[in-house]
Amino acid sequence: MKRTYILILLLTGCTGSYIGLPETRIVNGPPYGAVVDNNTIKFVWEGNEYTTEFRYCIDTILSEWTDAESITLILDEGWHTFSVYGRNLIGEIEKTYPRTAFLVDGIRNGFSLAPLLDTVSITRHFTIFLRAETPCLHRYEHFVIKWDRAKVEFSGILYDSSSYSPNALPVIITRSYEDSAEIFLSMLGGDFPEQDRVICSIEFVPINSGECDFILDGEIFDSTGTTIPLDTLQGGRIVIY
Amino acid sequence: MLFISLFAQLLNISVTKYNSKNLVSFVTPDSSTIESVIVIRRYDRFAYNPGEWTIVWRNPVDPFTPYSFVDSVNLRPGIIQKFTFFTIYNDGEYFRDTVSVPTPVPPGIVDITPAGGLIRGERFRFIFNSPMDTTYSESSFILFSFHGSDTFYYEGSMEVISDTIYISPYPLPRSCDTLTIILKSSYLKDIFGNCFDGNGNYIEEGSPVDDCSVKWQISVLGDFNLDGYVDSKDYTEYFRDAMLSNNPDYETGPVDGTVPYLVCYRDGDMDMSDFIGFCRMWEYSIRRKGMDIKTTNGYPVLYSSGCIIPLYQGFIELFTLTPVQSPSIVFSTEFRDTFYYFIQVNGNEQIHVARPVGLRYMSMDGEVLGEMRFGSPNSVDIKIYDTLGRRVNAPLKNGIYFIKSGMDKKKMWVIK
Repeated sequence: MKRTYILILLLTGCTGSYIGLPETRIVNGPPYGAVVDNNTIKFVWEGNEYTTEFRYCIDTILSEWTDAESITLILDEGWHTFSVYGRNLIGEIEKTYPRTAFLVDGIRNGFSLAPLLDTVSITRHFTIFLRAETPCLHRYEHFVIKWDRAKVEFSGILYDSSSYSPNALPVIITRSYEDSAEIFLSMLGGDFPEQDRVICSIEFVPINSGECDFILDGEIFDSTGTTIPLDTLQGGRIVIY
Repeated sequence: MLFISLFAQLLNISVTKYNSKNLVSFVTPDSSTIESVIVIRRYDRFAYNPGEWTIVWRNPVDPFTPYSFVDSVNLRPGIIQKFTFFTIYNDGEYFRDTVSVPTPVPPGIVDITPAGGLIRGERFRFIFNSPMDTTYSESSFILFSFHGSDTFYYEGSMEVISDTIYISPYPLPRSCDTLTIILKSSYLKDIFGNCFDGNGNYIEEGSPVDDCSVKWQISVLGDFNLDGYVDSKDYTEYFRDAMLSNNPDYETGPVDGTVPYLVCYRDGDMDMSDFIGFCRMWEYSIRRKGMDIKTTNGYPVLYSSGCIIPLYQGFIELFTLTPVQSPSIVFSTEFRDTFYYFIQVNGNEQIHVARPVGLRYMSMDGEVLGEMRFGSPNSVDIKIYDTLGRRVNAPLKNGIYFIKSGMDKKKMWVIK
């Protein structure tokens, strides 16, 4: 290590140049507080002349050091943070680096499964979230979630009560099968709110490696039982390794 | 309804009721010297000789041949008819056979199920005092219901098993209506062709005099225990299990019409339409009872005065353990229509309402007062222990567990 430093110092001394601190700038990507209606987001950044490598962080996931200056991410609905910083030739890391926080809200009047795309280890249980994406005011919900039973096994389901209407009584029935789960939801005395919310989380046990698609089918109804059209029903995919 | 005379010269004598008259049959003896047969009917006694004036049939006959004829006189209840058969031979000698025929009463209703009160109206059973004919069965009844001036007619199927008929309306009778079944006398007959005696005077008078009208009050759709309301008891004891096991006996959809007068067109599947139909009527029952669904935040969760379970009789407490003094993490949904108590966790605590698990609501004396649902056993904020005192982190199975409440442990039963 000591020899390396000496070599770098000699090199810089020979060229007569100075190694400054790295600085990174996000060239392309949603600005802070932006609402993005697309789940696929491309970030482009650039560093100053002293920056040799970059590291980016999406939410809490940190990348390896790379010389790439762009990344395209497929993100779930919801708030995300992105930051990128660089380091220079002698390994000095940028202290104040650019970061942005933005809301991916590509689905309106629909429902989705999250994660949209993710990888999991075959040794670990994983969870799929069923989310409401600003649906119209409605009283009844019906969902069918299907999966490949050769890849995963249903383990359990938990409903999130945090977004229920006040003074309303939720009525929930779940029918689970080997390759699907059917969910019936109602809110006696009130409607489901017109807002993004997590309806439930479904836990699975991986069985075999490979891709497993989670297909979401659903419908919502008003208080008279009339179907309300939905714009989007988005499933998800888990890659088991 | 067969009457056979013993020691008869004629063979196989029978008198059978046929279309309110008597069908008389016999077979002549195997004798070449037989000339004729004379049949005399009287009400007071049997005939003494073939010359009496009440002859109803007189014909030359061949040996060993079956004959039958219909007596032209209508039968009347309560009268015994005495038939005398004179078998006359070439030499003028005759033999005498007799058959006594009591006039049977026309078919009448012995029992009706359901008897009355509130009903769901899926199937009606009528027991008669005679085996019934299956012919014309679809025309034998009219089925309709009404509220105010709004009348709804139903299709219906009839099943006849001996002396019992079953009528099943389609669709299910309209919720909250008055249902009427009119049994049509002229079409509803016993196996002997006798028309249904609807007014019970033992005389066949046919439609419309003998038509019979029976009325029932249809309960609210989804009121399976027939207490007049759809409530959490119907949900917990009937509907939920029917949905989980796909048992179509408790269908409540698809529906048509406006609440509460919903008509259920059963399709044999427990699906979303049944769920919606049930919940709509449940909401209607809540409004009709004048109840509000109230949430009660706080500590502990108590029933207030005026509830079915008074304040002093029992309580439910679920505490967070960290910090120890924190208030109850649950809020209850006060639901006064039954003993059932629905518990949700406080939204701020981010606890999930679990899939069906139940908790018995206990009084201070340990009496079971009702059931409830509560937060997930996987939650970090709720500590649940099994009977051996081990912390339970997995989804609960059927059995007995304990839940920590302050310094006490409360026993609970989990029923899936």
